Amino acid sequence: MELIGAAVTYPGAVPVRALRPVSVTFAAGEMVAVVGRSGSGKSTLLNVLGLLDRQTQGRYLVRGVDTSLLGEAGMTSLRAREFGFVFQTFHLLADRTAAENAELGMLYRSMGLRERRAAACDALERVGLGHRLAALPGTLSGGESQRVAIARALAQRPRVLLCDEPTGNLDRRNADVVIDLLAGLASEGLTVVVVTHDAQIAGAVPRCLDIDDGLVSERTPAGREAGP
Amino acid sequence: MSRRGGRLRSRRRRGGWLKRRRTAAAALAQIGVPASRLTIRDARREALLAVTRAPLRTVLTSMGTVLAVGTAIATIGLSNSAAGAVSGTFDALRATIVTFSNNNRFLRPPDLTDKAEKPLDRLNGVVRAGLIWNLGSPGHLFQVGRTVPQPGQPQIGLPVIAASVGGLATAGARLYTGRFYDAGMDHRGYHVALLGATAARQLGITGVGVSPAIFIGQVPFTVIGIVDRAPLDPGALLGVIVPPGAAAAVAGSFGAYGYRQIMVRTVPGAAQLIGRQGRFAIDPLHPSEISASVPTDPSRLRQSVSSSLTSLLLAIALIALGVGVIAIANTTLLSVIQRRAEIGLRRSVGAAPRHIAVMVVSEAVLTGAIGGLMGTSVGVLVISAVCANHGWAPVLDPRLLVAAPAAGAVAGLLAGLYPAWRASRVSPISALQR
Repeated sequence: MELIGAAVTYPGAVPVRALRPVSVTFAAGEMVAVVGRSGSGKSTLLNVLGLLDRQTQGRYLVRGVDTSLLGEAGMTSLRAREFGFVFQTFHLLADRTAAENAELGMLYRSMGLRERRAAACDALERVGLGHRLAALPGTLSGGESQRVAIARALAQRPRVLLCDEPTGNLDRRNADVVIDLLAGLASEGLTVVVVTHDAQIAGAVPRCLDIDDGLVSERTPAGREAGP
Repeated sequence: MSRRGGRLRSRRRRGGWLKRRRTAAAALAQIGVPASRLTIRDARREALLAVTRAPLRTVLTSMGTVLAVGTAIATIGLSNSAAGAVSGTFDALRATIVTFSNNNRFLRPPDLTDKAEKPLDRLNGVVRAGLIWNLGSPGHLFQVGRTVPQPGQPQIGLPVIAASVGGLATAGARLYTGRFYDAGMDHRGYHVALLGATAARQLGITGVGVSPAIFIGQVPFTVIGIVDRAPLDPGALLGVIVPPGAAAAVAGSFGAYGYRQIMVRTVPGAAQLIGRQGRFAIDPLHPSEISASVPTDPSRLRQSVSSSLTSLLLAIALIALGVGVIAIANTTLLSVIQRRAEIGLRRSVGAAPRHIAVMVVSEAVLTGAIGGLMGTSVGVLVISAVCANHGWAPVLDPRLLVAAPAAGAVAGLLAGLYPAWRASRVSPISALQR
């Protein structure tokens, strides 16, 4: 994934510059943390990266495809194939079991039910929830719910996992479990981008992007900041 | 010139955009990204899951349709059942009775006698014909008592009717006690009488075992029976019934000019024809002097009752269905607003706007069909209960049992269109931010 001078400005009586021009590249198998205060533009960056929103300036290339040329349908198809999402509030469907929730990402791919169910079970096994396939979200703990959400993203077999405050609703122990899980996935070749305001998590991730007032800067290993 | 230039520039721009889109689509195909798809089977399964896993939401959403379809089925079924019952009553009683009377009964000598019964009886379609003759002028009451009238002794004023044997049978007279007089008694002018139940009570006669005597004016009569039912001539229960052969003894020569009518009971459906033919059978030379009172054609009556009730109640049912559509649309719209996060999630995992619209419409159709099915059951239960209570035969077109759930599904489809359009416009970002 490569952002080339990408910026987002929301129109209005007073235009809001949510993301200032940024050029950054994400390599396969890389784990990157995006750190910043609330309202700094973290989620805007994540939305652009996940094709949930479009940049208003610059270009964004995904596997060499210029996304600014894609229509709504093309964006949807590329998003479904390339990206998996993990949200702070899990967004599990309350009336579906863990397995059915994990299947959701494959629903729009014309896969057979058995194939979907097998992939969902594999993904749940992978996050350590093979024994909770039939559990409803109401009976799961916060950590388990987040792992189901990760399984839902993994079942789609994405190349990139975009996580928006994945530990925001978890206690330290569960947060560590989730971060370890994400690190393990990155080591298996998945690109993982984690948006967080937790300095401890940011410190544990090999690469860190700081964002402040829409301006993205790369944190060097020594802790010094460099321009994008 | 400038307008032409603008058009050219616009065409070039459009051409460039299309070219870029084609290039992007080709690039997506090259990296192995197919378009998102939702199969019909999956859409159906998703709708079924959504409807069955949240039964309370489904029941509340479908309540409008349940009421609408239930009302429609109940009103249509009850109107048919009631019309059938009303028409049935007319068929059984009034629709088979034709009454002939003389147009100039006070000016011409009477030609409606029991002798007219025979030609009428010979007509095809006649079950029974008989003479009913109210003695005296209209409203006239005769002095009737248990003894010969004497000064100072109270007498009772009662109407006196002369009815032939056929007349009694045609009017449906039923004996409480005693016996009817026969044709022989009539022809010989026997002074025998039947009392209506009310008249018997007034005279203090409860039985005929001792052959009680009554006096109509000065003329003695032997009471041989008490009549407690005469559905087609209920006035008979109030007075004294005598054979026509004895009528002259009571009414004198003036009594002959009382109101005479010949009542004919026909087989079902023959009343109209007998009404036309009967006048010629009674008086072939002066048929215009005889008027016939013919009941409304039962088939027309049934049609008229059914169609007026059905059209009225169908209008009510359509209004109810319209209310049902609005109710489903309203609840579905609320549900869409409540499920914005779910819609956003689906959009983020690859659902196109059309997939979201299909999901909402499928759920609305299924909810409508379930509501229609429940409404049909409720309607049938209501029809059964009301018909059982009134003793009617329940009448319901079986095609309605299929059409009603289908109507519910169509109501769901109509109701789901606008919420589906709204749902398809939900942005994944705004939905997930909630």
